[in-house]
Amino acid sequence: MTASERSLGRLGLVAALSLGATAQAYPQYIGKGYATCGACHYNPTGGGLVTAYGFGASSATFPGEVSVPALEKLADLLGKHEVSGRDDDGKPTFHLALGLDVRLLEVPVVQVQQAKETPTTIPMLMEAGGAAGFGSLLVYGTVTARRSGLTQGVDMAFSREHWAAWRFDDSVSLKVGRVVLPYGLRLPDHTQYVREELGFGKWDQAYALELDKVTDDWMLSLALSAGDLALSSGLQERGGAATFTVLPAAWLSAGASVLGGVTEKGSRAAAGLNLRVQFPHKLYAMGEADAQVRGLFGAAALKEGVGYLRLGWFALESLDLFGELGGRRVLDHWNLTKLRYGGGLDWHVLPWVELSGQYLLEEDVEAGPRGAWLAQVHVFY
Amino acid sequence: MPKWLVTLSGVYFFSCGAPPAARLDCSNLLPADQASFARVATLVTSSSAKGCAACHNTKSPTYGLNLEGPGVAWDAFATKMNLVYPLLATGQMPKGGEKWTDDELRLVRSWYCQGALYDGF
Repeated sequence: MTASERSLGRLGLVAALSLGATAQAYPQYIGKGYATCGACHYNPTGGGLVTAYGFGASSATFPGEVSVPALEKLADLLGKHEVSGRDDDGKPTFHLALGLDVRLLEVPVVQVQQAKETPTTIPMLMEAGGAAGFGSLLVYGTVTARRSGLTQGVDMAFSREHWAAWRFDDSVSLKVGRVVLPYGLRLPDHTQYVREELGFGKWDQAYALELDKVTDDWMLSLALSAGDLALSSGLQERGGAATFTVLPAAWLSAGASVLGGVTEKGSRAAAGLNLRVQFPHKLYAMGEADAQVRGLFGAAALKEGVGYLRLGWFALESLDLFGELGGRRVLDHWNLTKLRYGGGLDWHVLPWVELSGQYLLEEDVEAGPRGAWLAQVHVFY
Repeated sequence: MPKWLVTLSGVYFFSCGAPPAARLDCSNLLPADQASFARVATLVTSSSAKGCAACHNTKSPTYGLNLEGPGVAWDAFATKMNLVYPLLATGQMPKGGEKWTDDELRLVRSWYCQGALYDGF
Protein backbone atom coordinates (compact mmCIF):
# COMPACT_ATOMS: atom_id res chain seq x y z
CA MET A 1 0.00 0.00 0.00
CA THR A 2 1.34 3.42 -0.93
CA ALA A 3 1.61 6.40 1.36
CA SER A 4 -1.01 8.24 -0.69
CA GLU A 5 -3.45 5.35 -0.29
CA ARG A 6 -2.91 5.36 3.44
CA SER A 7 -3.36 9.10 3.54
CA LEU A 8 -6.58 8.88 1.55
CA GLY A 9 -7.87 6.23 3.90
CA ARG A 10 -7.28 8.42 6.89
CA LEU A 11 -8.99 11.33 5.26
CA GLY A 12 -11.94 9.17 4.40
CA LEU A 13 -12.17 8.07 8.00
CA VAL A 14 -12.24 11.64 9.21
CA ALA A 15 -14.89 12.46 6.68
CA ALA A 16 -17.03 9.56 7.70
CA LEU A 17 -16.56 9.73 11.41
CA SER A 18 -16.27 13.35 12.33
CA LEU A 19 -18.55 15.22 10.02
CA GLY A 20 -20.77 12.87 8.11
CA ALA A 21 -21.63 15.30 5.36
CA THR A 22 -24.22 14.69 2.77
CA ALA A 23 -25.25 16.27 -0.47
CA GLN A 24 -28.76 17.48 -0.19
CA ALA A 25 -31.08 20.28 -1.03
CA TYR A 26 -30.86 23.77 0.32
CA PRO A 27 -34.05 24.39 2.23
CA GLN A 28 -32.74 27.86 3.06
CA TYR A 29 -33.67 28.79 -0.50
CA ILE A 30 -36.98 29.78 1.00
CA GLY A 31 -34.98 33.00 1.49
CA LYS A 32 -34.97 33.36 -2.27
CA GLY A 33 -38.63 32.53 -2.61
CA TYR A 34 -38.30 28.84 -3.45
CA ALA A 35 -40.90 27.18 -1.28
CA THR A 36 -40.52 23.75 -2.89
CA CYS A 37 -37.52 21.65 -3.93
CA GLY A 38 -38.93 19.67 -6.85
CA ALA A 39 -38.40 22.33 -9.49
CA CYS A 40 -34.64 22.17 -9.10
CA HIS A 41 -34.21 18.49 -8.14
CA TYR A 42 -35.34 15.25 -9.72
CA ASN A 43 -36.52 14.21 -6.29
CA PRO A 44 -39.75 16.07 -5.41
CA THR A 45 -38.66 16.23 -1.78
CA GLY A 46 -35.27 17.65 -2.72
CA GLY A 47 -31.71 16.41 -2.51
CA GLY A 48 -29.41 14.78 -5.00
CA LEU A 49 -28.56 15.98 -8.47
CA VAL A 50 -30.15 19.12 -9.85
CA THR A 51 -32.32 19.29 -12.93
CA ALA A 52 -31.54 21.42 -15.95
CA TYR A 53 -33.93 24.01 -14.54
CA GLY A 54 -32.14 23.93 -11.20
CA PHE A 55 -28.78 24.38 -12.84
CA GLY A 56 -30.17 27.14 -15.03
CA ALA A 57 -31.68 28.88 -12.03
CA SER A 58 -28.35 28.82 -10.23
CA SER A 59 -26.61 30.16 -13.32
CA ALA A 60 -29.12 33.00 -13.45
CA THR A 61 -27.85 34.07 -10.05
CA PHE A 62 -25.03 35.92 -11.73
CA PRO A 63 -25.43 39.39 -13.18
CA GLY A 64 -23.14 38.76 -16.13
CA GLU A 65 -22.52 35.80 -18.34
CA VAL A 66 -19.76 33.54 -17.12
CA SER A 67 -18.10 32.01 -20.10
CA VAL A 68 -15.25 29.52 -19.96
CA PRO A 69 -15.02 27.78 -23.34
CA ALA A 70 -13.39 24.61 -22.03
CA LEU A 71 -16.03 24.21 -19.34
CA GLU A 72 -18.84 24.97 -21.76
CA LYS A 73 -17.52 22.26 -24.06
CA LEU A 74 -17.46 19.87 -21.12
CA ALA A 75 -20.99 20.92 -20.21
CA ASP A 76 -22.17 20.19 -23.74
CA LEU A 77 -20.51 16.80 -23.55
CA LEU A 78 -22.19 15.98 -20.24
CA GLY A 79 -25.50 17.21 -21.57
CA LYS A 80 -27.71 18.97 -19.06
CA HIS A 81 -31.17 18.66 -20.53
CA GLU A 82 -34.67 18.65 -19.27
CA VAL A 83 -35.78 15.05 -18.73
CA SER A 84 -39.45 15.49 -19.43
CA GLY A 85 -39.52 12.31 -21.51
CA ARG A 86 -41.69 14.02 -24.11
CA ASP A 87 -41.07 16.09 -27.19
CA ASP A 88 -42.72 19.42 -28.01
CA ASP A 89 -45.82 17.58 -29.29
CA GLY A 90 -46.14 15.57 -26.08
CA LYS A 91 -45.03 12.31 -27.64
CA PRO A 92 -42.74 10.04 -25.61
CA THR A 93 -39.10 10.54 -26.41
CA PHE A 94 -35.86 9.56 -24.72
CA HIS A 95 -34.06 12.18 -22.63
CA LEU A 96 -30.86 11.77 -20.69
CA ALA A 97 -29.04 14.18 -18.37
CA LEU A 98 -25.89 13.61 -16.37
CA GLY A 99 -24.84 15.25 -13.15
CA LEU A 100 -21.99 15.64 -10.72
CA ASP A 101 -21.63 16.59 -7.07
CA VAL A 102 -18.15 16.98 -5.55
CA ARG A 103 -17.40 18.46 -2.15
CA LEU A 104 -13.90 18.98 -0.83
CA LEU A 105 -13.51 20.03 2.76
CA GLU A 106 -10.55 21.75 4.37
CA VAL A 107 -10.49 21.21 8.12
CA PRO A 108 -7.88 21.03 10.88
CA VAL A 109 -7.35 17.41 11.91
CA VAL A 110 -5.16 15.67 14.47
CA GLN A 111 -3.32 12.88 12.66
CA VAL A 112 -2.01 9.72 14.32
CA GLN A 113 0.81 10.38 16.78
CA GLN A 114 0.65 14.11 16.24
CA ALA A 115 -0.23 16.39 19.08
CA LYS A 116 -1.42 19.33 17.03
CA GLU A 117 -3.99 19.80 14.31
CA THR A 118 -2.89 20.18 10.72
CA PRO A 119 -5.02 21.48 7.85
CA THR A 120 -6.31 18.53 5.88
CA THR A 121 -8.30 18.26 2.67
CA ILE A 122 -11.05 15.69 2.83
CA PRO A 123 -13.11 14.47 -0.13
CA MET A 124 -16.49 14.68 1.57
CA LEU A 125 -18.45 13.63 -1.46
CA MET A 126 -17.58 12.43 -4.94
CA GLU A 127 -20.80 11.54 -6.68
CA ALA A 128 -21.82 11.22 -10.31
CA GLY A 129 -25.07 10.14 -11.79
CA GLY A 130 -27.89 10.99 -14.06
CA ALA A 131 -31.52 10.78 -14.96
CA ALA A 132 -33.24 9.35 -18.01
CA GLY A 133 -36.82 9.85 -19.07
CA PHE A 134 -39.12 8.28 -21.62
CA GLY A 135 -42.73 9.36 -21.54
CA SER A 136 -43.99 9.11 -17.99
CA LEU A 137 -41.06 7.02 -16.84
CA LEU A 138 -38.13 8.65 -15.03
CA VAL A 139 -35.07 6.67 -13.94
CA TYR A 140 -32.49 8.19 -11.61
CA GLY A 141 -29.23 6.87 -10.19
CA THR A 142 -25.97 7.98 -8.64
CA VAL A 143 -22.64 6.35 -7.83
CA THR A 144 -20.48 7.63 -4.99
CA ALA A 145 -16.92 6.83 -3.94
CA ARG A 146 -16.95 5.22 -0.51
CA ARG A 147 -14.75 3.60 2.11
CA SER A 148 -15.68 0.05 2.96
CA GLY A 149 -13.47 -0.08 6.05
CA LEU A 150 -11.73 -3.17 4.69
CA THR A 151 -8.75 -1.27 3.37
CA GLN A 152 -7.10 2.03 4.19
CA GLY A 153 -8.52 3.79 1.16
CA VAL A 154 -11.70 4.78 -0.63
CA ASP A 155 -12.11 1.37 -2.21
CA MET A 156 -15.64 1.00 -3.46
CA ALA A 157 -18.33 2.70 -5.45
CA PHE A 158 -21.73 2.78 -3.87
CA SER A 159 -25.08 3.80 -5.25
CA ARG A 160 -26.81 5.89 -2.64
CA GLU A 161 -29.90 6.39 -4.74
CA HIS A 162 -31.33 4.51 -7.69
CA TRP A 163 -34.99 4.59 -8.43
CA ALA A 164 -37.58 4.58 -11.15
CA ALA A 165 -40.62 6.84 -11.04
CA TRP A 166 -43.85 6.93 -12.95
CA ARG A 167 -45.14 10.47 -13.40
CA PHE A 168 -48.93 10.29 -13.56
CA ASP A 169 -49.09 14.01 -14.25
CA ASP A 170 -47.21 17.15 -13.26
CA SER A 171 -48.13 16.76 -9.61
CA VAL A 172 -48.25 13.05 -8.80
CA SER A 173 -45.49 10.48 -9.09
CA LEU A 174 -44.85 7.02 -7.72
CA LYS A 175 -41.30 5.79 -7.38
CA VAL A 176 -39.58 2.64 -6.29
CA GLY A 177 -35.95 1.98 -5.48
CA ARG A 178 -33.29 3.15 -3.10
CA VAL A 179 -34.30 6.57 -1.80
CA VAL A 180 -33.86 8.97 1.07
CA LEU A 181 -37.04 8.51 3.04
CA PRO A 182 -39.23 11.62 3.09
CA TYR A 183 -38.73 13.01 6.57
CA GLY A 184 -38.10 16.55 7.77
CA LEU A 185 -35.86 19.18 6.27
CA ARG A 186 -33.15 17.80 4.03
CA LEU A 187 -30.28 19.84 5.33
CA PRO A 188 -26.91 20.27 3.62
CA ASP A 189 -23.39 19.71 4.93
CA HIS A 190 -22.41 20.48 8.50
CA THR A 191 -25.89 21.55 9.45
CA GLN A 192 -27.60 18.21 9.55
CA TYR A 193 -27.76 18.06 13.32
CA VAL A 194 -31.33 16.92 13.27
CA ARG A 195 -31.06 14.41 10.47
CA GLU A 196 -28.04 12.47 11.62
CA GLU A 197 -29.58 11.99 15.04
CA LEU A 198 -32.58 10.40 13.38
CA GLY A 199 -30.59 8.03 11.20
CA PHE A 200 -30.37 10.11 8.04
CA GLY A 201 -26.62 10.19 7.60
CA LYS A 202 -24.77 10.20 4.31
CA TRP A 203 -25.21 6.48 3.70
CA ASP A 204 -28.62 6.00 5.26
CA GLN A 205 -31.06 5.30 2.45
CA ALA A 206 -33.70 2.61 2.09
CA TYR A 207 -35.50 0.65 -0.57
CA ALA A 208 -38.99 2.01 -0.66
CA LEU A 209 -42.14 2.67 -2.59
CA GLU A 210 -42.87 6.37 -2.45
CA LEU A 211 -45.85 8.41 -3.56
CA ASP A 212 -45.36 12.15 -4.00
CA LYS A 213 -48.07 14.72 -4.56
CA VAL A 214 -46.96 18.31 -5.07
CA THR A 215 -49.37 21.20 -5.57
CA ASP A 216 -48.97 24.94 -5.28
CA ASP A 217 -50.48 24.88 -1.80
CA TRP A 218 -49.28 21.63 -0.24
CA MET A 219 -47.02 18.62 -0.64
CA LEU A 220 -47.40 15.07 0.58
CA SER A 221 -44.88 12.25 0.45
CA LEU A 222 -45.69 8.75 1.66
CA ALA A 223 -43.15 5.95 1.66
CA LEU A 224 -43.26 2.29 2.57
CA SER A 225 -39.78 1.01 3.26
CA ALA A 226 -38.33 -2.48 2.94
CA GLY A 227 -35.17 -1.34 4.71
CA ASP A 228 -31.62 -0.90 3.51
CA LEU A 229 -31.01 -4.17 1.71
CA ALA A 230 -27.27 -3.45 1.69
CA LEU A 231 -27.20 -4.12 5.42
CA SER A 232 -27.36 -7.34 7.38
CA SER A 233 -30.94 -8.57 7.64
CA GLY A 234 -30.90 -7.93 11.38
CA LEU A 235 -30.32 -4.24 10.80
CA GLN A 236 -32.92 -3.68 8.14
CA GLU A 237 -35.65 -1.41 9.38
CA ARG A 238 -38.98 -1.93 7.68
CA GLY A 239 -41.74 0.59 8.01
CA GLY A 240 -42.69 3.90 6.57
CA ALA A 241 -42.27 7.64 6.59
CA ALA A 242 -44.49 10.52 5.63
CA THR A 243 -44.13 14.25 5.34
CA PHE A 244 -46.91 16.75 4.82
CA THR A 245 -46.06 20.36 4.06
CA VAL A 246 -48.36 23.31 3.61
CA LEU A 247 -47.32 26.30 1.54
CA PRO A 248 -49.75 29.10 2.40
CA ALA A 249 -47.50 31.63 0.67
CA ALA A 250 -44.25 31.71 -1.27
CA TRP A 251 -42.55 33.01 1.87
CA LEU A 252 -43.75 30.32 4.24
CA SER A 253 -43.74 26.55 4.51
CA ALA A 254 -44.68 24.43 7.50
CA GLY A 255 -44.33 20.69 7.63
CA ALA A 256 -44.89 17.67 9.80
CA SER A 257 -43.18 14.31 9.48
CA VAL A 258 -43.64 10.90 11.01
CA LEU A 259 -41.54 7.78 10.75
CA GLY A 260 -41.91 4.29 12.13
CA GLY A 261 -39.99 1.10 11.66
CA VAL A 262 -39.26 -2.32 13.04
CA THR A 263 -36.16 -4.47 12.93
CA GLU A 264 -35.82 -8.11 14.00
CA LYS A 265 -35.18 -7.01 17.58
CA GLY A 266 -36.82 -3.68 18.11
CA SER A 267 -38.67 -0.68 16.80
CA ARG A 268 -38.55 3.07 16.63
CA ALA A 269 -40.95 5.93 16.05
CA ALA A 270 -40.17 9.54 15.31
CA ALA A 271 -42.16 12.67 14.66
CA GLY A 272 -41.20 16.23 13.92
CA LEU A 273 -42.30 19.67 12.88
CA ASN A 274 -40.48 22.06 10.62
CA LEU A 275 -40.93 25.64 9.57
CA ARG A 276 -39.29 27.84 6.95
CA VAL A 277 -39.97 31.56 6.68
CA GLN A 278 -38.77 34.23 4.30
CA PHE A 279 -38.68 37.71 5.84
CA PRO A 280 -38.29 41.03 4.05
CA HIS A 281 -34.84 42.07 2.86
CA LYS A 282 -33.84 38.50 1.98
CA LEU A 283 -33.75 37.38 5.59
CA TYR A 284 -34.95 33.90 6.41
CA ALA A 285 -35.37 31.48 9.27
CA MET A 286 -35.88 27.77 9.34
CA GLY A 287 -36.01 25.20 12.04
CA GLU A 288 -37.04 21.71 12.98
CA ALA A 289 -37.88 19.93 16.23
CA ASP A 290 -38.23 16.17 16.53
CA ALA A 291 -38.74 13.45 19.07
CA GLN A 292 -37.75 9.82 18.69
CA VAL A 293 -38.34 6.70 20.77
CA ARG A 294 -36.47 3.51 20.01
CA GLY A 295 -35.73 0.30 21.81
CA LEU A 296 -36.01 -3.44 21.96
CA PHE A 297 -39.37 -5.16 21.97
CA GLY A 298 -40.61 -5.29 25.54
CA ALA A 299 -37.59 -3.50 26.98
CA ALA A 300 -36.57 -0.01 27.98
CA ALA A 301 -36.46 2.57 25.24
CA LEU A 302 -34.24 5.50 24.43
CA LYS A 303 -36.16 8.76 24.20
CA GLU A 304 -34.47 11.57 22.31
CA GLY A 305 -35.34 15.10 21.38
CA VAL A 306 -33.44 17.03 18.73
CA GLY A 307 -33.77 20.53 17.35
CA TYR A 308 -32.26 22.85 14.81
CA LEU A 309 -32.55 26.54 14.03
CA ARG A 310 -30.91 28.58 11.29
CA LEU A 311 -31.14 32.30 10.66
CA GLY A 312 -29.71 33.73 7.48
CA TRP A 313 -29.49 36.61 5.09
CA PHE A 314 -28.91 36.56 1.37
CA ALA A 315 -26.65 39.59 1.36
CA LEU A 316 -26.27 39.02 -2.38
CA GLU A 317 -28.33 36.78 -4.56
CA SER A 318 -25.33 34.43 -4.50
CA LEU A 319 -24.18 34.95 -0.90
CA ASP A 320 -25.86 33.45 2.13
CA LEU A 321 -24.67 34.55 5.58
CA PHE A 322 -26.01 32.43 8.39
CA GLY A 323 -25.89 31.44 12.01
CA GLU A 324 -27.24 28.16 13.30
CA LEU A 325 -27.79 26.08 16.37
CA GLY A 326 -28.55 22.40 16.81
CA GLY A 327 -28.77 20.11 19.75
CA ARG A 328 -29.82 16.78 21.19
CA ARG A 329 -31.13 15.74 24.57
CA VAL A 330 -31.64 12.13 25.61
CA LEU A 331 -34.06 11.59 28.43
CA ASP A 332 -32.44 10.21 31.62
CA HIS A 333 -28.96 10.46 30.12
CA TRP A 334 -27.68 13.98 30.67
CA ASN A 335 -24.18 13.10 29.50
CA LEU A 336 -25.48 12.43 25.98
CA THR A 337 -26.54 16.04 25.59
CA LYS A 338 -24.76 17.89 22.86
CA LEU A 339 -24.93 21.25 21.20
CA ARG A 340 -23.44 22.45 17.97
CA TYR A 341 -23.55 26.02 16.80
CA GLY A 342 -21.74 28.27 14.46
CA GLY A 343 -21.92 30.77 11.69
CA GLY A 344 -20.61 31.14 8.20
CA LEU A 345 -21.32 31.79 4.58
CA ASP A 346 -22.25 29.94 1.43
CA TRP A 347 -21.03 31.85 -1.59
CA HIS A 348 -22.08 30.77 -5.04
CA VAL A 349 -19.09 32.09 -6.96
CA LEU A 350 -19.79 30.45 -10.31
CA PRO A 351 -22.82 28.65 -11.71
CA TRP A 352 -21.18 25.34 -10.86
CA VAL A 353 -19.02 26.30 -7.89
CA GLU A 354 -19.93 27.19 -4.34
CA LEU A 355 -17.51 28.13 -1.57
CA SER A 356 -18.46 27.72 2.06
CA GLY A 357 -16.79 28.78 5.24
CA GLN A 358 -18.00 28.15 8.74
CA TYR A 359 -16.89 28.25 12.32
CA LEU A 360 -18.44 25.31 14.13
CA LEU A 361 -18.43 24.89 17.88
CA GLU A 362 -19.48 21.55 19.31
CA GLU A 363 -20.11 20.97 22.98
CA ASP A 364 -20.51 17.58 24.60
CA VAL A 365 -21.12 17.18 28.30
CA GLU A 366 -18.19 14.77 28.56
CA ALA A 367 -15.79 16.24 26.04
CA GLY A 368 -16.46 19.92 26.59
CA PRO A 369 -16.32 22.49 23.80
CA ARG A 370 -14.41 21.96 20.59
CA GLY A 371 -14.30 24.48 17.80
CA ALA A 372 -13.07 24.35 14.24
CA TRP A 373 -12.97 26.38 11.08
CA LEU A 374 -14.30 24.55 8.07
CA ALA A 375 -13.92 25.50 4.43
CA GLN A 376 -15.52 23.71 1.53
CA VAL A 377 -15.46 23.80 -2.23
CA HIS A 378 -18.58 22.42 -3.80
CA VAL A 379 -18.65 21.68 -7.52
CA PHE A 380 -21.92 20.54 -9.01
CA TYR A 381 -23.58 20.12 -12.34
CA MET B 1 -6.04 -9.72 -13.40
CA PRO B 2 -6.01 -6.29 -15.13
CA LYS B 3 -6.04 -3.35 -12.75
CA TRP B 4 -9.15 -1.84 -14.31
CA LEU B 5 -10.99 -5.11 -13.73
CA VAL B 6 -9.92 -5.10 -10.08
CA THR B 7 -11.23 -1.55 -9.80
CA LEU B 8 -14.51 -2.45 -11.43
CA SER B 9 -14.91 -5.45 -9.19
CA GLY B 10 -14.79 -3.02 -6.27
CA VAL B 11 -18.07 -1.52 -7.38
CA TYR B 12 -20.18 -3.05 -4.68
CA PHE B 13 -23.78 -2.11 -4.56
CA PHE B 14 -24.28 -4.36 -1.58
CA SER B 15 -21.99 -4.75 1.37
CA CYS B 16 -22.20 -8.53 1.00
CA GLY B 17 -19.09 -8.09 -1.11
CA ALA B 18 -17.11 -7.86 2.11
CA PRO B 19 -15.38 -10.94 3.57
CA PRO B 20 -17.78 -12.60 6.04
CA ALA B 21 -15.49 -12.12 9.01
CA ALA B 22 -15.36 -8.35 8.52
CA ARG B 23 -18.99 -7.85 7.64
CA LEU B 24 -21.29 -6.43 10.23
CA ASP B 25 -23.99 -9.07 10.40
CA CYS B 26 -26.46 -9.85 13.12
CA SER B 27 -26.11 -13.58 13.52
CA ASN B 28 -24.63 -15.44 16.50
CA LEU B 29 -25.46 -12.67 18.96
CA LEU B 30 -25.22 -12.59 22.71
CA PRO B 31 -28.49 -12.12 24.61
CA ALA B 32 -29.31 -8.42 24.91
CA ASP B 33 -28.82 -8.40 28.68
CA GLN B 34 -25.24 -9.58 28.17
CA ALA B 35 -24.44 -7.01 25.51
CA SER B 36 -25.01 -3.65 27.13
CA PHE B 37 -23.20 -0.54 26.03
CA ALA B 38 -21.58 -0.35 29.45
CA ARG B 39 -19.59 -3.47 28.52
CA VAL B 40 -18.72 -2.10 25.10
CA ALA B 41 -17.70 1.24 26.62
CA THR B 42 -15.24 -0.49 28.94
CA LEU B 43 -13.27 -1.50 25.87
CA VAL B 44 -13.76 1.64 23.80
CA THR B 45 -12.97 4.23 26.45
CA SER B 46 -9.91 2.40 27.71
CA SER B 47 -6.49 3.84 26.96
CA SER B 48 -4.92 0.39 27.00
CA ALA B 49 -3.45 -1.16 23.84
CA LYS B 50 -6.89 -2.53 23.03
CA GLY B 51 -8.83 0.63 23.80
CA CYS B 52 -9.81 3.36 21.38
CA ALA B 53 -9.19 6.25 23.77
CA ALA B 54 -5.45 5.68 23.61
CA CYS B 55 -5.50 7.78 20.42
CA HIS B 56 -9.02 9.20 20.32
CA ASN B 57 -9.17 11.27 23.48
CA THR B 58 -10.02 14.75 24.69
CA LYS B 59 -6.44 15.96 24.53
CA SER B 60 -5.77 14.55 21.09
CA PRO B 61 -8.97 13.66 19.19
CA THR B 62 -7.26 11.83 16.33
CA TYR B 63 -9.20 12.15 13.07
CA GLY B 64 -11.67 14.34 14.92
CA LEU B 65 -12.81 11.54 17.22
CA ASN B 66 -12.90 11.67 21.00
CA LEU B 67 -13.85 8.31 22.55
CA GLU B 68 -12.70 8.96 26.09
CA GLY B 69 -16.13 8.96 27.71
CA PRO B 70 -19.10 6.61 27.35
CA GLY B 71 -21.37 9.33 25.99
CA VAL B 72 -19.12 10.45 23.17
CA ALA B 73 -18.17 6.82 22.46
CA TRP B 74 -21.84 5.89 22.17
CA ASP B 75 -22.38 8.78 19.79
CA ALA B 76 -19.67 7.56 17.42
CA PHE B 77 -20.37 3.85 17.65
CA ALA B 78 -24.13 4.10 17.36
CA THR B 79 -24.01 6.20 14.20
CA LYS B 80 -20.89 4.95 12.37
CA MET B 81 -20.76 1.25 13.17
CA ASN B 82 -20.88 0.19 9.52
CA LEU B 83 -17.44 1.71 9.05
CA VAL B 84 -16.07 1.12 12.55
CA TYR B 85 -16.81 -2.62 12.64
CA PRO B 86 -14.73 -3.62 9.57
CA LEU B 87 -11.86 -1.55 10.92
CA LEU B 88 -11.99 -3.46 14.19
CA ALA B 89 -12.66 -6.85 12.61
CA THR B 90 -9.74 -6.56 10.20
CA GLY B 91 -7.41 -5.33 12.91
CA GLN B 92 -6.81 -1.97 11.26
CA MET B 93 -7.99 -0.47 14.51
CA PRO B 94 -6.81 -0.02 17.20
CA LYS B 95 -3.94 1.24 15.08
CA GLY B 96 -0.69 -0.05 16.50
CA GLY B 97 -2.66 -1.64 19.31
CA GLU B 98 -4.02 -5.05 20.12
CA LYS B 99 -6.61 -6.60 17.81
CA TRP B 100 -10.01 -7.26 19.32
CA THR B 101 -10.82 -10.91 19.94
CA ASP B 102 -13.76 -12.73 18.36
CA ASP B 103 -15.62 -12.52 21.68
CA GLU B 104 -15.11 -8.78 21.85
CA LEU B 105 -16.27 -8.34 18.27
CA ARG B 106 -19.29 -10.47 19.07
CA LEU B 107 -20.05 -8.23 22.04
CA VAL B 108 -19.98 -5.01 20.04
CA ARG B 109 -21.98 -6.65 17.23
CA SER B 110 -24.55 -7.92 19.71
CA TRP B 111 -24.97 -4.50 21.27
CA TYR B 112 -25.33 -2.75 17.92
CA CYS B 113 -27.69 -5.27 16.35
CA GLN B 114 -29.98 -5.13 19.36
CA GLY B 115 -30.84 -1.49 19.29
CA ALA B 116 -27.52 0.23 20.06
CA LEU B 117 -29.01 1.50 23.30
CA TYR B 118 -27.20 3.44 25.99
CA ASP B 119 -27.68 0.88 28.72
CA GLY B 120 -26.06 -1.05 31.51
CA PHE B 121 -24.76 1.90 33.52
